[in-house]
Amino acid sequence: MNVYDSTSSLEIEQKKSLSIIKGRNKIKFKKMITIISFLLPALILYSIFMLYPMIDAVRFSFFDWDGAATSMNFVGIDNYVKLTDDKIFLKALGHNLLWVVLSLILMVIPTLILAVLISRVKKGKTFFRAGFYLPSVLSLAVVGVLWSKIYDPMMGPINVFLKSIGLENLAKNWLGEPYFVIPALVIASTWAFYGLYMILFLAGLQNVNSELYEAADLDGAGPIRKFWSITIPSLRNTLNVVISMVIINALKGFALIWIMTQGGPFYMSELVSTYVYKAAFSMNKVSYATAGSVVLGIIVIVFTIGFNYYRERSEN
Amino acid sequence: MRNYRRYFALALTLVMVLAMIVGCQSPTASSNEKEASKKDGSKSESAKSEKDKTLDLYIPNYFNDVEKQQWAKVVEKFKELNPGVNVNAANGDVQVESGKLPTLLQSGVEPPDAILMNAGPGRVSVLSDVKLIQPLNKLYEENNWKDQLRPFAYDLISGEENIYELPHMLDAIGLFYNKDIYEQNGIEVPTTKDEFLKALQKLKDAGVSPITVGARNGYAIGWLFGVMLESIAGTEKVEELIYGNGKWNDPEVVKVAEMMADWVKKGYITKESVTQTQADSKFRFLSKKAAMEAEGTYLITDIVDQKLQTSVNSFMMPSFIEGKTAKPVGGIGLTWVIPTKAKDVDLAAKWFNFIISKDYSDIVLNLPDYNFVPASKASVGMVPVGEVLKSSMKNIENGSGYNPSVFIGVEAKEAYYQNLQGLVGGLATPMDAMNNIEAAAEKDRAAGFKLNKK
Repeated sequence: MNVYDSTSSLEIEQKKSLSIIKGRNKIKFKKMITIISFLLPALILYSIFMLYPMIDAVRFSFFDWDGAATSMNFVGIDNYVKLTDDKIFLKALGHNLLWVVLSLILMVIPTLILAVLISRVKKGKTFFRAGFYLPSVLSLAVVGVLWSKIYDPMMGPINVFLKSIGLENLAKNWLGEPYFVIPALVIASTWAFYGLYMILFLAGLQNVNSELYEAADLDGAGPIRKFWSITIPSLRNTLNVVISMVIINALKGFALIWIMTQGGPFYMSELVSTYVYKAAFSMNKVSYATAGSVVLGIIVIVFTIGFNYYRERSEN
Repeated sequence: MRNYRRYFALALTLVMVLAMIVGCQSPTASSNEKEASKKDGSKSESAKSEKDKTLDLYIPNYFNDVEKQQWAKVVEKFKELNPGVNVNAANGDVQVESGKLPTLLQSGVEPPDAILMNAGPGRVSVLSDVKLIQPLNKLYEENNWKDQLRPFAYDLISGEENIYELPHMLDAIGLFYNKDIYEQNGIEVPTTKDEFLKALQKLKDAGVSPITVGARNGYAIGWLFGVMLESIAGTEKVEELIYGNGKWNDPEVVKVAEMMADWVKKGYITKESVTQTQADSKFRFLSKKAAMEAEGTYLITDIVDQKLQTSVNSFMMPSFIEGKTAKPVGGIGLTWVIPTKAKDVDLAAKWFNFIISKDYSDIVLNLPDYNFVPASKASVGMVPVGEVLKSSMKNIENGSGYNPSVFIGVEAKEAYYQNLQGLVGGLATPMDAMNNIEAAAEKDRAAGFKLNKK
C-alpha cells in the first residue's frame, strides 16, 4: 500500500462520514419540519389570540392612553407608580386576597367531602352527581341575579326565614354591609363552581386503589383515618389541580361581582378586575387599567408557579 | 405520488392561512376598499335619485314596546315628509362609559349617519377629543339651529369653540309620587321645606317607606342627590360646582350630604336601598310600596304601560332656601351627534331639522305615553297629552337645574356614585364622602377637565 492509496482511502472515509452526517442532518431537518408543521397552526393561533394581546397589554401599560385617541404618550412606569399610591386599587388587591382565602376554605374542603360522600352512595349516584353539578351549567349572569334575590334584605328568603323564626337580629343586608359583602359573594361563587370541582374529585376518587381501603379495614382503621391517610394522599394530584384552579378563578373573578354589586357599596366589594373595568370603560384610563391588570396577571402567575413549585418540592 | 402529497399539504396550509386572514378581517370592507368601491360606483351613485337614499341611525335600546311604537311613528312621519328616503334605525348601547360607542366608531365598520347618545360634556368630549364625531358649527349656521333650540339647551352645548351635538331632549328629574298613598295619609303635594319634611315624617309614622332609591346603580342615587342639592343648596351653588371654583366639601354641599345621611337614619330613605337596583326601586315605587322616587320623565312609559297615569305624578322637591324655587334637575338627556366618517351628512342634517321641527313635537307630544321633553323651541308652549309630561314640561319652562352626574369628570363621577352609596349604607360620613368626591374632582381638574358656561 503506498502513500497515495492510504490518502485516497482516507478521503473516501471522510466523504462517507460527511455524507452520513449530511444524511443525519437531513433527517433531523425533516423531523424538525414535521414537528414545526404540526405545531405551527396552534402556535400561530396561540400567538395571535393569546401572546399578542398579552404583550400588547404590557405595552399599553407604559403609555398614557384613553382608549380612543390616535396617539399615545409614553410615560414609562408612571402607571405602576400611581397604582402603588391608589388606595382603592390596594383595597381591591386586599379584597382579592381575602377572596382567595375564603374560596379555598369554602370551595376545596366542602367539595371534597361532598365528592367522597357521593362516591359512597350505592343507589342514585348519577342523580346526585347530576343534581350537584347543575349550578355549574348556569351562566354567571343567572347565578348573580338568583343570589341577589336570595340576599335581598327585604324580600330575600334568608332574611324572611330568619325573621319568621324570631332571629331578626341576624337578618342583615348581606350585600350592603362591609363584613358580609365579600363572604356573601364568595358563597354565591362557590355555589356556581363547586359542581366542577366535585366532578374533578369524583374522577380522582375513581382512581384510588380499593385494595388500600380493604387493607385499612383489616387493620381496623376508622372512616376519618382512611380519609386522612388514604383518600387525601391518593387525591394529591387532583387536589393540586383544584387548588390551582380555585386560586386562579378567585383572582380573576369578575362577572358575579359585576352583576351583584359592581364593586360597591362604597368600594366594599371592589376587586382588581372590577376596578380595572371601571378605570378602562367608565373613566377612559385604558393604560392605567392595563397596568392594573398586568399587576393582577403577575400575581396570578406568581401564585400558580409558586404553588406548583411547592407541590413538586413537597412531592420530592 | 409523494410529491403530489407535498403539494396537496402545501395547498391546504395556504388555504388555512388565507382562511384565517379572511376570518380575522372586519365583517365589512375596510374604509379604503369602500372608498375605492365608491369611486368605481360613483357614476351609478350619482345616477341614483334622492329616492334611493337610506338614513342610518343608531339609537338607544327600547326599554319596552311603547318606546318601539313611538319611534316607529316618528320614523313614519319623517318618511312621509321626505318621500323615498328610507330610515334604518339600529338599536344599541349609547353610553360612552361602557366603551361600546367609542369602539363602534373606531372599528372601521361604516358608522351610522347620526347617533343618539347619552348626553353630558364628559361623554361627548370623549368622542370629540379624538375626532370620532364631527363639529356641527357649519350646519348650525346653515340651518339656523341656534334659534330653533330652547336657549337653555343651546347654552349647555355651546360653551366651547366647536359644537358637536344637537340636543334631542331635556331631562326633568324630580320626585314622582303615588297620589293614592298621599291621599290615604292626608298629604298634599308639599310646596315648602316644612311641608315636605312633615310629609316625610307622616309617611314614616304611617309605616310607608317615604323615598325609595336604587342606590346600587350610581346614576339613580345621583338623581336623588341632584334633586336634594338643587333644593337645599340652590342652582347657583351647583353651577359654582360645575362651572366655577366650587368645592364638593363646601359646607353648604356637606349640609346636603348630612341631610341625606340623616334621612337614612330617620328611615325616610331605607338603609337597604344601598343594595337595591334602580329596577327594584322602580318596582317598589310602582307597586305602591314606597311613596316617592327621584326619577326623570323616562318613567312615563312604565307608568302608561302599567296604567298608573291617574295615580302617579311628579313634583319638584321644594326649595329649602327662603324665596327661591327649585327646578327639576337634568340638563340634556339624549343628544344627536354625527360621526366623522358618516356617509351622508346632508341626510343626517335633514333628520336633525325634523327632530327640532314642529312636525316632530306635534307627533310625539300627542302620544299619551311620550316620555321626553323635546329640546326644540317649537315644543315650548305646546301642551303634551300625557299628564305627567305636562307637569314636567311646565316645571322646566324656564330651564332646569343640574344633575351633577352628567356634568362632572370621570374621576369625580365614580367617586360621586360610590360615596353617595357609602352615605346611604352608613359606610361613609358626610364629610368624608364629600372630601373624597372633591379629591376625585381635583384629579379631573388636574387632567384638564373644565366646563365653560355660555
